[in-house]
Amino acid sequence: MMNEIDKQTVQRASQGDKQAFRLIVLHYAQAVNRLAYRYTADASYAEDIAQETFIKAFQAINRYQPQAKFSTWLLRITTNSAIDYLRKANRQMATSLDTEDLQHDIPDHGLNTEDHLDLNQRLSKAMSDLSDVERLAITMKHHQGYSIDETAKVLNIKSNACKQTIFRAVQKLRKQLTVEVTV
Amino acid sequence: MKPTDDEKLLMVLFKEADQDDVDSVLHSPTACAQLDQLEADMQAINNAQNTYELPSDYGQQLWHKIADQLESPADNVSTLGWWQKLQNFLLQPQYSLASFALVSALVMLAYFTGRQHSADGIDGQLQEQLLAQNIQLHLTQSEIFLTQVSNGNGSNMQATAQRLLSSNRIFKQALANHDGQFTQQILQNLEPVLLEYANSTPNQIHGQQPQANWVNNTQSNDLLFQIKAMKQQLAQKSDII
Repeated sequence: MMNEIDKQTVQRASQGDKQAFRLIVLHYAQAVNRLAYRYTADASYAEDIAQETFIKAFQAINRYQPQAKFSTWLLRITTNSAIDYLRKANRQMATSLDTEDLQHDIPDHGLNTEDHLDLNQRLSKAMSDLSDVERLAITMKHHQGYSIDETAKVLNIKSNACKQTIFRAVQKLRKQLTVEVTV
Repeated sequence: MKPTDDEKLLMVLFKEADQDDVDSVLHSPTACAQLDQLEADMQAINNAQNTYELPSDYGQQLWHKIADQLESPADNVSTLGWWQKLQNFLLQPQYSLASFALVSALVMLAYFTGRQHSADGIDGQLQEQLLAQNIQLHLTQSEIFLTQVSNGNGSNMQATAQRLLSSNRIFKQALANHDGQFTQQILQNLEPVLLEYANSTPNQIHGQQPQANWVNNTQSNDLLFQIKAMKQQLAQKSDII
């Protein structure tokens, strides 16, 4: 559960107070960057997305509804920024979003040369080997708690395709766990 | 286990499965064990990414990078153009009705003013063009008439002269409201000649020249030249001078 910043700071920021917004950046910077990293598996992408997220948030902060958690609102901007960023960075993603043909396998990192890697490293590597859509879908569903329908809508794919995408991503990641057990 | 079963388990874990599927999983000890394993695996996957380290002052670093790029909505308002500001003002609820009335009144005023002006302008121009064309036609007929008279041929010349005389007088009256003094002068010069032939007997027209002796008169030759010149002017510019 994320520790929320106080409402007065958010209110002051929404009136254009940059010092109040600085407090918001200090409070949420790590969470935003970590989420961006989950979506992209790339530290430099995550840094760009984090910057873009806070710039967008400052521009739109007077549209924030205080009934919702501020972190939810901010992380939603992060999600949208990540999707936009990946679309721009990898034009292939736009065309592959609604295709069923996303069956490329992740190399089996556990068998020979990478036996020495610990589980976390192998899982991180496997995560970065997922396609952008698979990584986005599983992060949105599993980490961010979006529903399947919501995830499908944001990614602009059909619900069934979204389920398949998530399932495929989970299979690929679990394969790394199975390797660990057998070694 | 088949992939479809794995998928069903995943949907149960994500709370996206039908109630029947949930019940079937919960009633099977094997399926429950598989569900526990899946949950543990998903937790391990989740934890794996928590190892991503950021510096403790990352927030401060990020702030330094973006502080200069921040533009709040308040800043945007100050840089808006006058049109955007006016739009924003007019869209405020307390002013919207008055603004609507004001804009409607301005549109109506512009419409009627424009309509009146354009109607006047178009009508005036059109009238002058029509008059110029009619005078041109009248002068052509007069020229033909005078040529026929001078050559001693043509029939029913008296009636033609009478008709041309009536037209000539009408055009003189029409030109009274215009600045076309040269045109008026030609019609003025043409009138006595037409009058003479209109009042003469048929024998005079076909047998003898009228008293005005129009053909041999130098002044009359000038009149024919003036008619030709004016016809050309009206044909080229449709402008009454």
